[in-house]
Amino acid sequence: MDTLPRPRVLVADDDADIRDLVEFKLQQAGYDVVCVGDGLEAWDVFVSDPPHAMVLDVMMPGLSGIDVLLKIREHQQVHVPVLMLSARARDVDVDAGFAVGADDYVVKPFSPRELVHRVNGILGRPRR
Amino acid sequence: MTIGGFVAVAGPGLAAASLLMACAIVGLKLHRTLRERAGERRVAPLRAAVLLVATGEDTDDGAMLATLAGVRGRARRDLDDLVVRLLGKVRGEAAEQLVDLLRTHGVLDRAARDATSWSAVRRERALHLIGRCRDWRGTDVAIAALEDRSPRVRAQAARTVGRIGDPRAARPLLHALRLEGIHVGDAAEALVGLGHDAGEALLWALAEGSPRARTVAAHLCGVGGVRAAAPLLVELVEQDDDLTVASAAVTALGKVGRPQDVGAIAAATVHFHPQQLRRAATQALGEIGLAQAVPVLVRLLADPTSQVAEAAARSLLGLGAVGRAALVGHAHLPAAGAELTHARLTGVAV
Amino acid sequence: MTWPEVHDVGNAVLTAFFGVTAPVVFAYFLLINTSYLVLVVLAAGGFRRHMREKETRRDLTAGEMAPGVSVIVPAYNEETLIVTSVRALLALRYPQHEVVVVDDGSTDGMLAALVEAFDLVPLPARATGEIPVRAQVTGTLVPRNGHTRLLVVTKTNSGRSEAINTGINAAREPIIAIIDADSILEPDALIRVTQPFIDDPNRVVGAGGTVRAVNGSTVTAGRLVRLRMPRSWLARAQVMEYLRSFLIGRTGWASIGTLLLISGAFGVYRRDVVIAAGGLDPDSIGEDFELCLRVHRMMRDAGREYRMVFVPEPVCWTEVPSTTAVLRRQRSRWHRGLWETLWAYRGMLFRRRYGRVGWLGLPYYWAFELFAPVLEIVGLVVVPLGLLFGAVNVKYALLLLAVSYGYAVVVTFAAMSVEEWAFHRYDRWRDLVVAVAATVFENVGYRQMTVWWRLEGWWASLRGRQQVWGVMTRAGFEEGTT
Repeated sequence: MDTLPRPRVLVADDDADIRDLVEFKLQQAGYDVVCVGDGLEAWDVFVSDPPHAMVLDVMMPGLSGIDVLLKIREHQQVHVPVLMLSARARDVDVDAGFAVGADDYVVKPFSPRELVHRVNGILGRPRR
Repeated sequence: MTIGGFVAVAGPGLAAASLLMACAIVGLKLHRTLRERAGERRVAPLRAAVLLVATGEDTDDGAMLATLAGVRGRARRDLDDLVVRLLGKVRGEAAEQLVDLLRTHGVLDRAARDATSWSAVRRERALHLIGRCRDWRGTDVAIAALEDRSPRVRAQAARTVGRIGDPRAARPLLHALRLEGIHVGDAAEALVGLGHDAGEALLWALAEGSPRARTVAAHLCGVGGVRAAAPLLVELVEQDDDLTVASAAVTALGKVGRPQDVGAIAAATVHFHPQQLRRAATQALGEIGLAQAVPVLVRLLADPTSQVAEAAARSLLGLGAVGRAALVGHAHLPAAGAELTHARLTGVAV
Repeated sequence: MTWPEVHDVGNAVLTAFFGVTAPVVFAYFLLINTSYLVLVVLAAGGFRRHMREKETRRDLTAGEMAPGVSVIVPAYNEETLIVTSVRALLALRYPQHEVVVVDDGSTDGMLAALVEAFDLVPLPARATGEIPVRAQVTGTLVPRNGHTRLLVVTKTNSGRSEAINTGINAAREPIIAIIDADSILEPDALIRVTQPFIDDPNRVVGAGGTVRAVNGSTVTAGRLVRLRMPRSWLARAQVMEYLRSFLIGRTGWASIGTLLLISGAFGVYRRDVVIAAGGLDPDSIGEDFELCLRVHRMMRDAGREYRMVFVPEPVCWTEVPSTTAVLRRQRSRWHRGLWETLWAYRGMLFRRRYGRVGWLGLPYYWAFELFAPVLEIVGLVVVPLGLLFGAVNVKYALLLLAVSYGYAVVVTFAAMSVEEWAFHRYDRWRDLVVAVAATVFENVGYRQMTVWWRLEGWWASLRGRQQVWGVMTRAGFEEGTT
């Protein structure tokens, strides 16, 4: 298995604790992880080197996760699966996330284990 | 004392005070910088282990947990702070692991003791911790703290009962909203956490609660679909002096109202009511989803208050084929025209 | 008369004058600074509450009961910065907010820039709003994509207050936030200032956010990236001044429920309350102060329980004047507005119905804000004259001045240490040293300059002269560099 290149996941969240948790957990699950702290950086990384999947916080300084996702869906032909990770738990917020093209939506506080399953899910990877 | 005399005393005093203040500023900054650095240094080697535990990647025999449990001294306090912070961000198994760690450190026991301390700061901290750990053993203490003499402790208690999630807390929480301190937003979130079991308490609050309790209860009855609340909500819409309560009630009626409530909602759109209530009622008429609201809304399309007219147009748009036909039929009115244009932009078929 | 004769007469007159005024002026100085000191202590309590709250409250998500907010941006000829500014406002962390830009009859390419950047399309004419506006509303535009929550309203030119009223009319959310186009908001700004409305929706009617000086800092894409002390001493003095009078002063006042002024650069109100009050007064010069007092009066006349709150966390950054000419216009205008508003609301003074506002807040503003420059100028003119004519003992005069201003320096230091303890936004040691120096300059040099300008404004008003408001010339933020 390890001879295959590890899928790259871009994680954008302004909270360092969450970044570290997600990075750590995804690495354990066999992903290459790139972390950024705001939406602008996320967009820059996306443009320069598109990842295989993204985990986006919704409320970030600069560009919000929704904005980043909008830009991605507008400008790119390739479909990069995106998982929104947000403290906004209301139905309308979840609806808004899916409406702009999220593939999945996880509410904070989150279960790291569940997050990995869902990232696997959006990448169409079988369970470990 | 003469001015001269005063000045002679005050001069050197002020010079000393200036110097003291300048030193204090530097001291504060120095102290903070050093403390932060030292804290980071102490926690840095432990951080990886904490993340391992928090992500549930600890070895089967819990070796990391054991290591962390053995940390002593200052590092332990910093470690506990980090763990408490992380507890607000993860849930599930990861959170349980972290709570276990705090338990072995005796943090939970200390919190149970501190919750009845004489110091308000300690009580508040303890309640915060109990909430973060969702320690059900703290339920009674937290409910009692809703009536604490310190407003800040009461505010924290509201958050704590929400996190623990024992439905027994619903009514005391709503009752405590009559006091200063508890934030309405916190109470609402806590009650959402208590789930369906809070329904009974919500009805009580609608009938007998303070204005703030009525606001929260009305809002949650709508969001949570408590249909039994409809008659009480109608009463609030018709009679409550508090505009915030009446508006929340009419919004809720839009979600849980019955066909016979359309009249009461429509009555709240009449021109002599405050604009905030009229607009909320107009939106509620759209939300309720009944064709009998259409004639009222059509009349409101020509309302001189643009907010109400526009809300009426939007409500009509949401009322299915009948509503849309009515809107198109009145497209010459500014509010209807604007809404139709907007609908076409967003790709809604009209 | 020969010089010796003039000297003798002057000496006699000034000795008598000095004998009367010196104790008064001196006592006044002591009182005003002591009042600041009291405010510092009150503010420290307010900051402490604020910090504890931040520590123990859930992450800022605005939550279940967050009301929708309409951010209203009056703009006149802001072609260069409007697009960046609107983008930043749209990106603020908040669950439900719209941005309403009111183009006050701009003559530059501002509207075109907006149309291009956001792909705006016109909506059919809308019904008129609840606040009467003299100007003609000429159009309403929205983005073609239908979901970017931006509304651009164009109108004929009639000034900032009317532009805001037009925006309030067009706004669709229950809470309105009034923001200058050149203000830079922290990403959390909206969540923070609307928190009081969520916490206590039945009573909170208005909230003010802290406004601080951004000069010298790095701003990228309408966002403050790195905070630095300004490079000009004029701006540095204003940093300290904003700290002492705005941050500390307003936190202190708000903590005893007597917030009388919500800054126009970033103020948040309940829309229905502003409408009931009739919106901003287009003829007022101190329109922010005027609105705030009008809301106070309305709520108290109606016997309603209400609260005005102040959010001490720095949330809004604005460029302060960096040239004396602009600063002079600003201060002269502020003082004129202060005087005209206080005068218009003199009926609220010492009436039981107006509670602390009438008994404490307004009298304080009369005594220590309005009359401060008069007393100060007396001190500044009489002491040198007294020295010239030998009516005053040199040592005594210098000591008097030293004590008066020394006390003011101590108070500003106290304010600074409270800030450093609570928010410590300037992270470099160098900025701290500069701040200490600026504190001294603010009290000795800067304040004396503003005394004169403030008197000018007052004088202009008393003579009934129309003042023409120059547009503030901006130095502009430097994108990407310091």
